[in-house]
Amino acid sequence: MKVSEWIVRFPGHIVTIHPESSLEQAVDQLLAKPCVQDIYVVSNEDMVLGHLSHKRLTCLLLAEHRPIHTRRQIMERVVFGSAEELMEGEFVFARPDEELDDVLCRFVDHDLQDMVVLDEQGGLVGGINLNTVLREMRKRPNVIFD
Amino acid sequence: MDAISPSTLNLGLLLLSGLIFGYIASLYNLPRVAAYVIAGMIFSPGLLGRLEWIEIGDWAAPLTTIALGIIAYLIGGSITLKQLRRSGRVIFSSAIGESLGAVFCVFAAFVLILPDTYTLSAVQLALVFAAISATTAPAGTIAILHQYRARGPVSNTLLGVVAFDDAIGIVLFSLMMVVVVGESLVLSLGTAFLEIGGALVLGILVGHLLCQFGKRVHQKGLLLPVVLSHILLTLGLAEILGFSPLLATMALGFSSRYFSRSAGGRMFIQVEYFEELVFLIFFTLAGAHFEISVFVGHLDLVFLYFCARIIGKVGGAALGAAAAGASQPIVHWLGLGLIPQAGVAVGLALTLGNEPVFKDVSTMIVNVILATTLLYEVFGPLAAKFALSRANELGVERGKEGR
Repeated sequence: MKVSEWIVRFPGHIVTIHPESSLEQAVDQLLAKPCVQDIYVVSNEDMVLGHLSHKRLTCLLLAEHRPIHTRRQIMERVVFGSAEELMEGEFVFARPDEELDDVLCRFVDHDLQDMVVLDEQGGLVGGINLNTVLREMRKRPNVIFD
Repeated sequence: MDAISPSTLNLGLLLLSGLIFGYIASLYNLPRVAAYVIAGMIFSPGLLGRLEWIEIGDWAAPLTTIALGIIAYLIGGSITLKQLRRSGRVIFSSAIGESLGAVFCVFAAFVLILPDTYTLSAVQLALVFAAISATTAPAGTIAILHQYRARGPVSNTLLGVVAFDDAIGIVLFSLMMVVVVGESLVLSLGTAFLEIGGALVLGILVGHLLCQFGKRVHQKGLLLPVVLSHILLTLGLAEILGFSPLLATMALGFSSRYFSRSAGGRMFIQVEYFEELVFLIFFTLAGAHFEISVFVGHLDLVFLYFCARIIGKVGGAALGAAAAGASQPIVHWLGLGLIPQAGVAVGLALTLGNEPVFKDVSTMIVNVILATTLLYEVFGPLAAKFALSRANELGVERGKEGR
């Protein structure tokens, strides 16, 4: 099955935030959707700029409770940055014309729960939710090859 | 089996001993750094080093260069231009003040007191100790802030200063190397421009290359080899071209984060796991260079360095903070939180042994820096706790709630 078909049949919810959003706003967005683990930073032109994971946000928010910091973490703790500064600019995504079968390993390799689907220009087309994939695979093991 | 040399075995034994001693120390809440040093001392010439097959020899030099290159890369990548701008005048000015304060006081003390009995002049040796004195160790400070749940302007400024004053230390050390290794001051100034400027250009160019390469690597497991190979490339090119290797790798870290426009996770997390290994190497190797006769023979220098650096850090931080209009608690108490000195200082001292000009004095320098590091390891956290307590920023100590 192509990714484009999957996102029509099982549209995954992608949480997005503005590049200027604060850390607290990002966490609030994440908590508003308990099933979501990944947030994407999207520009005014709907271009996806970067990725923030649940783990990354948790580490930033709980920084002062950690006894050991790297220098990078110290600076992040002292100088709060916007979502654009905290995000990872190189992130994993899928293209609509890819086979879903080829995309799934990226979830495992990069500890992702929600993957964005982007067009050639980097615009947001949709999302794939790992839980949805697993649920469907449990129901019909061959669903991704349909 | 023939391919395994005694050097490989020695390194393995050295690191394993350090880990075991460190583990035992952590069981009794003792500083791990001191345990690493003691483990290294077992391999010093006075003890096991006497055995023919135990030899901390030529293999240690490239190892310390690479290890320090990794640390310089991490230091360079720890801060972005935006963070630097937003960190504020107080943090920036205090960091400059405490670094230069330590450099000035250590230099003045050593120039006045150091006898001209070494192969290097008193001024040259004073410059070496002064340049090393600028660095601090964030780990001890963070541990105190965490243990006592410290919060407030002094704690925050302290964090900001320890996060990037090692970068100032590396720049000062690189400048010192040019001046001391150079043939004359006039020639040195020209060479300094070339070495420093060349190192920055090289670091930026390879940083751009690393960023482009990194963008094309999607397999997580390949990122570490990609970054390490670029660090080695930078170190090697800097050595061949006569540029400062430390400055070049620091510029590499800074520029690769700048070009990749990211928080740095991809390019740094994997390498950050190396930091403890690097410090394990530094402290065990420094311990292996420990010579009781050298230590006893230079107790005066240990005392001098210990006191002058503290005076410089405290005075310089106060001046820097006051110049930026910081509040009174910051001006009064910031400096006492900046006493710890650890891995970077020991690493810088160890790399001196790679330069022929320091051949006869490197053991003495390593021994003085090692001894003072251990003293600071004990005194630093106590001073930081005292300063934070006077600034009214200590919370309830962890593990003592409700008692």
